[in-house]
Amino acid sequence: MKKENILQLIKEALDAENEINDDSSEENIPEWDSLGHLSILTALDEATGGKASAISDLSEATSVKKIFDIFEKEGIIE
Amino acid sequence: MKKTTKEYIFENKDLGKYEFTLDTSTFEPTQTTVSIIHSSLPLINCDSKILDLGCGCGIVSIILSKLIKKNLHFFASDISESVEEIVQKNAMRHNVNIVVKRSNIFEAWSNQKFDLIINDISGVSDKVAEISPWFNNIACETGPGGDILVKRVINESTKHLKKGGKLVFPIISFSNEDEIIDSASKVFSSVKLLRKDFWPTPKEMHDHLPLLNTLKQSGLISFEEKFGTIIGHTSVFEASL
Ligand SMILES: C[S@@+](CC[C@H](N)C(=O)[O-])C[C@H]1O[C@@H](n2cnc3c(N)ncnc32)[C@H](O)[C@@H]1O
Repeated sequence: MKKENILQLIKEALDAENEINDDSSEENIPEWDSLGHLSILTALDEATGGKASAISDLSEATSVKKIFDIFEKEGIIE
Repeated sequence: MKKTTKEYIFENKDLGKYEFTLDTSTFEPTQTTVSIIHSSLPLINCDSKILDLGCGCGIVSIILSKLIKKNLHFFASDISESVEEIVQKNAMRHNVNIVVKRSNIFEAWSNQKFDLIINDISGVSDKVAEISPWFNNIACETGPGGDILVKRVINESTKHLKKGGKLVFPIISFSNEDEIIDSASKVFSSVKLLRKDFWPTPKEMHDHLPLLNTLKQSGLISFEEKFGTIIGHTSVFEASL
């Protein structure tokens, strides 16, 4: 997956008003609450053909940076 | 003895922002509250007589009255000791009218019939309630399958529904969904799923995964483990005679 696709997917999953960028997180995006986070993870899971659901660190990855780090480690980001 | 009260702020993108007074015996609203409000909105007609069963702080009646600007008649009850005081206080704060009674299920509503009964009486396995943060000081005599009170509501609601009336009820994944659906299908001619919402469970429940797995294996509850967390769901049903 490309980073820009992940940002777009997060914006759509949250139905966020503001743009999502590398610094976005639960701290600065009001729609990123616990339910919003579950919507992001569900969307990432669909986009990765089910790979995301097996990654146990994702429940705590409540920022774009953390999601990118995990996806880089897992070789999901191109 | 006077109970300590606290302020609770409810905020939802579609439903709006509201403040409520709760005390130590009042249930704090959850995602299931949101699912129930969304499901009930389209079912309410002008002049509807509505019963909010297991009303807690009165949130379901209050938000529905605020959002639906029709002539509605709200009745609400809960077994909680302070329900009358708390719900009246919240109704006044939001300028809505609700007839509130303290009641074990339908006891206080004998001979009364409603167009819509919205049930939200405790419906999770009592074993899960014990380890969850939801039911501190809140009645939850539901049995290991969480179905005892819901089944009573289903069976007794037939006496309290007007012709064409409907019962809306949630089934939470931490209960025996099949058993509850079976009872509803025996009593009602139509049982329709209105929506299903998924939610992450609070962290304090993760330490109890072995117990949750045992209950799951016995078919008493269901949940999914994904992304390193436990995911539950609420399904809301509409039943008509
Ligand atoms: C899940 S809470 C729902 C509260 C509220 N509707 C909300 O969304 O915040 C369940 C409620 O059922 C009430 N309850 C438990 N057993 C009951 C019974 N036998 N009769 C009436 N209410 C009961 C509890 O006191 C609690 O307020």
